Amino acid sequence: MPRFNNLTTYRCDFPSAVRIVLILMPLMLVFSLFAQEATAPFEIDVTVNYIDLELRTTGGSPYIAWWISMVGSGDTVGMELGEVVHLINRSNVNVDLYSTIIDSPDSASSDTLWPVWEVAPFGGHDSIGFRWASLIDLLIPPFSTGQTILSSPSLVELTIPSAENRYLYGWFIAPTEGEPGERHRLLSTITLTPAMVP
Amino acid sequence: MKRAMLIGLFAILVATASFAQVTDDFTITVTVNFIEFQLMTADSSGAYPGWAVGNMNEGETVVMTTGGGGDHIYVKNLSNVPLDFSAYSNSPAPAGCGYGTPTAWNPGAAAGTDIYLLELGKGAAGVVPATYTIIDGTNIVSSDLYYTTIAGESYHMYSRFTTPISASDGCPHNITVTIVAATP
Repeated sequence: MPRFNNLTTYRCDFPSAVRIVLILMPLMLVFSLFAQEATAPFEIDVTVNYIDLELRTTGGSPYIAWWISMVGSGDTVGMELGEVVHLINRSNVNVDLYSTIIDSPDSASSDTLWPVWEVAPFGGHDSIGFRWASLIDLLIPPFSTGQTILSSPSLVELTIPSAENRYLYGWFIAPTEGEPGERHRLLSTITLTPAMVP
Repeated sequence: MKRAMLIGLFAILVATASFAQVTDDFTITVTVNFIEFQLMTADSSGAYPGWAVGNMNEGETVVMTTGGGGDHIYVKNLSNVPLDFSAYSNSPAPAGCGYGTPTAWNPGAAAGTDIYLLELGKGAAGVVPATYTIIDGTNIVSSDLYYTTIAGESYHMYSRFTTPISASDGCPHNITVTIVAATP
C-alpha cells in the first residue's frame, strides 16, 4: 500500500501540461501513423513533334558533298544518280521540306579570293541559281520539277508523311561570268518543319 | 448441514454486496478528419479521364481549356477540414516507337532537354488561374502547394504544361500527376 501511495503522489507531482502530454503521446503516435492526406492521380498524354532527318548517299553512307567541277559560265549542271541525296526522314509527324543555299567561302582555302555569289532564280553576274526536286523514287527528273532555292527558306515539298523518305535531286546554275580556276563552296541547308497542313 | 447452508448463503450475500456498484457515464465527441476528394470533368459529370494533349512542338505551352466542355479539372472536395493541395509528377521512359531513343522526362523549374514544365493553379469554371505553381517530382507539400481550401470547398483546377525544348524521342509520353490533399 505505501508503495501505491508513493506512486500516486509521484504522478501527481507532474505539472498538468506534462501530464497531458504523457497522456496524449500515445494518441499522437497513433494519429501520426495515419497520414492526414489523400491522393488522386491524373494522366497527361503528350507526344512531342519529333523532327529528325539524315542525309545519305544512295549507297547508304553519310552525304558529304556534291562536287561539281569544270562547269562553264551559265551552264546548268544536274546530279548523276549516284550523287542524289537520300533524305532519311525520322519524323513522327508529317513535315514540310524547306531549303536554303548560300555561298559560304571556306576561310582556310582559296574560296575567299573570289567575290561571293549571290543566289537568284537563275545564274547571272556573280549570282547562281539552284533547284531541288523532292522525289519518292530514285530517278532523274525533268528540270521543270525542280523548286527554286534561294538564300531564304524556300519550299521544296509540302506535307511529307511521317517517316517517309525522299530523294533530293539538285541542279546548279552557274554564273554567266567567271574566272578560270574560280572556286566556291556552297552550303545548302535542308530543313523539316511540322506540316502546316497535317 | 443447515448451518453450512446458512454460512454459504451469507457468503453469497456478502459477495454480492461487495459487487454492488453505481454507474455513470460521459460522452466523447470526436470527428475524424475526413479527407476525400475526386478529380472530375469540368462539368463534374464524371471521373476525369486524363488530359490528352496529343502532338505538340518542342518547347510549346498548352493550358487546359475553360467552360463546362473544357478539359480542366473540377476538384470535388468532400473533406471536412481545410486542406493544402499540392502535387508531384513523373514520366518514365516510353516504349520504343522508332523515333529517337526513348528517354524518361523529368519535371523542372523550366523546360529543358527531356525536362518538362508543369504548373497547376486554381481558376474558375470559365477563367484560367491568375497564378500558377510549378510542380516538381517530389511529394513535399510546401514546395508545390498550389491551393489551400476551406473545409469542403470544391474548385476548378488548371494545368499549364510546356514540353521539353529538346526531346530525345518522338514517342507518346505518359505523365502521371498525383494530386495530394493534406491537412495544413
